[in-house]
Amino acid sequence: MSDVLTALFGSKTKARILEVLLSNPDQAYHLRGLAQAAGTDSGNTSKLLRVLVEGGVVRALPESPSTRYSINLDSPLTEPLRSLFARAGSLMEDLRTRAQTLAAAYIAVFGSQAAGTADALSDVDVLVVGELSSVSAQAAFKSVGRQHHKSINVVVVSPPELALQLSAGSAFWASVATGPRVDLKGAWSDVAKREAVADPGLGLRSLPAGQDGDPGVA
Amino acid sequence: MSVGTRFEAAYDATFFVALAVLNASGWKHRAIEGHHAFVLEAACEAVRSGVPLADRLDAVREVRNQKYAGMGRTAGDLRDAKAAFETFSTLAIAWLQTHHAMLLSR
Repeated sequence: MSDVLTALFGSKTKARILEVLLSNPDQAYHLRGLAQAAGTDSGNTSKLLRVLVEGGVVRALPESPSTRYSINLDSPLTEPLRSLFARAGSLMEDLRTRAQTLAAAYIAVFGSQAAGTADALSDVDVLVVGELSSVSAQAAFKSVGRQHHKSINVVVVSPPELALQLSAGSAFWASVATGPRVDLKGAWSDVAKREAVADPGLGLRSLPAGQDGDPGVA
Repeated sequence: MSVGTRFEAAYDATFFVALAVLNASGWKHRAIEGHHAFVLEAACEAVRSGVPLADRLDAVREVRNQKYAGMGRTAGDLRDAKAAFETFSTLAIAWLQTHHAMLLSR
């Protein structure tokens, strides 16, 4: 769990319970299942849930033989919380830690995970601006994907390619440039500022120019 | 030959070696969704490749699939795909020699 979220919520367990519920908004958990998913015991979970239910963030669904709990999608706090956890949750923290080990100028999450609109089945789209190969970048995030049960799609672009694509007005890269991103390493302004170099000897990879949608793997 | 074609060849060679490992073990794959990933993972498990190599082979598969989204492959991708194939095929041949030497001699 992120240190920031632990500090904000005053409890690692409380933050972890919220993260589990926010990451799986369609799921209602029994106390024991939620405790297990959050890595804690039922007694502690019960105590913390009481506070979250009273605050309206978590919904208690009385069912026989026991109550189930889910995130309250009607709460005005749910969307801001999802956005907060999407940006500072353990998935982002683990991605950020991994990103620091790669020789790239800039790495970020984009798409639904960055926008805070991802659901439990959403992939994670990662942009890598650097000279490393797609194979090595894709392989580098495998362990994080496995740990969080997420498919991670990595798009690698070299700084000259990125400049060229932005200059050419590629719809895909324009959407990456203007859409929500969560920085994992470096700053977008550092790589997006570069002048376009129209050097035919660059060996540019063909990019999904003109695509508005997800460039994810088929 | 283009980088993309050579990359495809490296991937195909990897996949066929993986199929050989599974077939030698008495398994046959079907072309269901995700079968390439299943074949590679199972073959890696059979030859005890270890997780890092399995991850690299799966990454090669994913980069290979990016062609369907209009993405190209670079010389770096080709280098990594060939290196992963060479490591995996060395392990697979050793495994075949140990467990199914008769198949190799036919």
